[in-house]
Amino acid sequence: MKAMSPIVRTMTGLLFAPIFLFGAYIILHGHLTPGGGFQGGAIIATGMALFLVAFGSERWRKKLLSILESTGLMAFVSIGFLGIVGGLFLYNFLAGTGSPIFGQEIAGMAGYAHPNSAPLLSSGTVALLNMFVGLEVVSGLTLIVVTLGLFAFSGKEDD
Amino acid sequence: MINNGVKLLFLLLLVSGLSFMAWGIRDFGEPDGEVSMYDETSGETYKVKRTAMDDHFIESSQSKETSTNNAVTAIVFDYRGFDTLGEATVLFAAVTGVLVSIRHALKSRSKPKGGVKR
Amino acid sequence: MSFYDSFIETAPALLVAIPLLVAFMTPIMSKISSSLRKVWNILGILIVSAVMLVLGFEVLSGGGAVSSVYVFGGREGSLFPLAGGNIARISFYVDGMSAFMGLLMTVVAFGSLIYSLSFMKRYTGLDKYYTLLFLMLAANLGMVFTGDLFNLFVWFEISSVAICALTAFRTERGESFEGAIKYLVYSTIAGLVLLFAIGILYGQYGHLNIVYLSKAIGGHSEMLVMDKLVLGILVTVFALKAGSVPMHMATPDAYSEAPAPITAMMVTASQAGLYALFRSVFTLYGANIQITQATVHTAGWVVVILGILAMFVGVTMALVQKDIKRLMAYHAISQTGYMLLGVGVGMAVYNTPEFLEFGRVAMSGGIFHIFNHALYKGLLFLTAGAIIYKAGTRDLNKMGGLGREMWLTAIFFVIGALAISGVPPMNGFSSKLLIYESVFKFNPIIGAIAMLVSLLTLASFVKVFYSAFMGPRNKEMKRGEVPTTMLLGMALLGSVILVFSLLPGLVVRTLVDPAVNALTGIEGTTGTSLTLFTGEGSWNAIVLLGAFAVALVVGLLIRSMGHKGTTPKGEGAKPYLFGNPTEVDGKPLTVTGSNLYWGFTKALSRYYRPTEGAHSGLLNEYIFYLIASMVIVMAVMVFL
Repeated sequence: MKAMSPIVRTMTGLLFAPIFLFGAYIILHGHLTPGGGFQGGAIIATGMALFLVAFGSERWRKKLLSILESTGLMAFVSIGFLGIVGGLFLYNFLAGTGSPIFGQEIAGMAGYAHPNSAPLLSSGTVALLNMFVGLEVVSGLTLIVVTLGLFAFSGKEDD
Repeated sequence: MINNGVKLLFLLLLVSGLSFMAWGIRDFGEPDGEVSMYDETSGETYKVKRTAMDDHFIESSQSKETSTNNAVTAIVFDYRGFDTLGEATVLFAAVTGVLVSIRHALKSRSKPKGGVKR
Repeated sequence: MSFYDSFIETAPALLVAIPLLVAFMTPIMSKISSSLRKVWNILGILIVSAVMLVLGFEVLSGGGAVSSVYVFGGREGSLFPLAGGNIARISFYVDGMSAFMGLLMTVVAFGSLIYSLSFMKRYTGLDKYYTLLFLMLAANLGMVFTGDLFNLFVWFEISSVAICALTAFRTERGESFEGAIKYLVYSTIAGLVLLFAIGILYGQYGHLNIVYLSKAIGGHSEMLVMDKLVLGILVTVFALKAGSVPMHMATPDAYSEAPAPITAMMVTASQAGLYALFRSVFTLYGANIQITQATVHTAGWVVVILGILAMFVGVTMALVQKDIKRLMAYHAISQTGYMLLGVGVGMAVYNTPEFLEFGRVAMSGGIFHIFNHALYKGLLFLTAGAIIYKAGTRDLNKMGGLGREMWLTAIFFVIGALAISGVPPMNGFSSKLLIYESVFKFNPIIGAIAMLVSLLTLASFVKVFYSAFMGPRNKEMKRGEVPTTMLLGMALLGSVILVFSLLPGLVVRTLVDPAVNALTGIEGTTGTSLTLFTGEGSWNAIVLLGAFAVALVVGLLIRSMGHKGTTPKGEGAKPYLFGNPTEVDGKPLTVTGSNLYWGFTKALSRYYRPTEGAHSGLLNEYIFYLIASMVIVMAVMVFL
């Protein structure tokens, strides 16, 4: 697939930042507001698809994408293994411990003025898993789109 | 060859069977619904609140157990985190499958059959 | 708690998590270096096998009751119990049956991986191959350990996607894409209907845990129509996964196109489907058997009929195949019929006096056959891979004479072929004997069909042996024996088969009885250390082998007394095949594989024409068979 005209490329460059920001917000605030790793990852991947349409499919670093995808899942399983230390597999060992990494408690619903107020650094492993799933979804979906783009627009199928 | 009418008939029968089930289940939510359970040791039945698991999720997702404000994410990534690992694995398997099945098209043109080393 | 206890407690989670971790890291490892990837993969399968062996030993020596409930995400020592003992998290239940299936899957995966090391060398994209292989192993193990219906569906999905991707692995063949697409569409439709059924159960009872749901299903004074429909869907979907007729249509295509080691693993994946079928009937619907008895018996009859269809259609279709892997794929279907038949008879008489009389023996036979089948079918697919590796073709008519140089492969093939045909003293005979005797008491006609199918199985493997290993050599084929690691993979499975053959009683007592106890909740034994009890008689492989040895010695003695040194001369020195000259116009005269049973197929052309016509290759007809059988099974569950 060849790169498209300068108009499309400029607009894509402008649009990509808000798309990426929105997706990152959905991922990072997954434990506070509706959304999460899958949803935000899909949003960022649409931005990547836009990039692909505008700039062509030749110059993507597929190896890097594949490594990022594996890394996301590997980190997911590793957090599961860390849970074995304090409890069972995938045990939420950070929640409510007061540790600086997502360990803050949130005020309970009962008798609190704003039932939906919660600090960003709450929820323990949930936020971490969100990020890793987000990483996996972004790189996985991008990899599919790029591969299919290369496949569909590489001229003839080799036979 | 099988007659298209026969195919349609069986499809409609399947759809009607599934619809029968979908209409027959209890109302969504149903806060006071009870499920009668069979106790294998005593041989008698006892009642359990049908929403016991859902109530547990709603009540304790914001407590110390997960301290996640968004109860849905708490269910997806904590209570049923293992399923989420599985779903992420489905995506991973699908990506790997795509890469495997069209890998010959991604090789350079000099290798006509990229599937096998020459 | 000692380290060993906590290790055993964690083992079910490790068995799924370690293959997943290995799979996720394989692409990274192969980016660094391919030998690192190889080491990593071998290390992974060794660790998984070791953990599975320890866990299996622990569970099976404990008699097969649920030994551990592993709650994912739980705190140490806390199961988060709610009212009525339900668990608000995903949990793994390990009992005799799951440990049995887990052992089988690791053994076959181990053999396949070792075999792949040299068999797959000529292909690119190997990092993805091993990634998918480990994903398949993880999905199989997850399916047999899980105690949660939605989790079961997730593993079902991973298994389908991984199998589809691996079926399409040999991209130089267009057929492999066709097989992959068929398998994918088939299992996706089945998976969606399964998800629907799970959703119905969740909507009705508000839970997904299998133990909780079984209590809730048994809690009514009589069974709900909805629960019967759900059971119909579960039976059909899992029978599809197991590859039973008439939902088998995609199975031969996918089995024959996947690389040989993957086909061996696909057999275990289909057996995970069998496991899920038995689990859903016995555990999900068996808690309050007074209420659900009639439904379980109907399900048993459905399974018996599916089993008979699978046995008969599978073996008759196998007889006419020319492609060696397609032939074996049809045999896989036919053997699945035996397992369905054995356990189906157990279901059909569950909770009646007949169950203790012959139902339990039938179930032991069916479940013993699962393990035997995975072993010998795995071995046969690996030998088929070896034959194709050297012959360069899958067409039986173009092969020949491989036995002279590939005599080790030929020996492994004979072991597998004798075992699958149920020839004494092989392990296939032990399990089939249990099935024959008990099914004969259940219904003599079905018992007779089961024996007939065994005969036809032997006939079709005689054809393969004759076509591939005997006869004149085809000049285009490569010479020599296959590489050592391929032989190692075959030797692993072959030696396990021999152990199983010599000690059927011991194997049944240590592996199968705990599994049957775990499924049915009824204690009992079928075997002692050396002898196997079939309910009527008993079977001891060592005594039979002793008798064989005595007869052999007597025969050799008689032979040694004979006159020595006669050499034929003149016309008598010419090699003749049944009275015909073996060469015509300088070319060797042979009967090709597809002509061997020409008369048989010709005589049965009335049966063969519609049956072969049904395997049309049209995907929408195949989907029609799936939908039609689903509708029929659901109707039978409700109205009978």
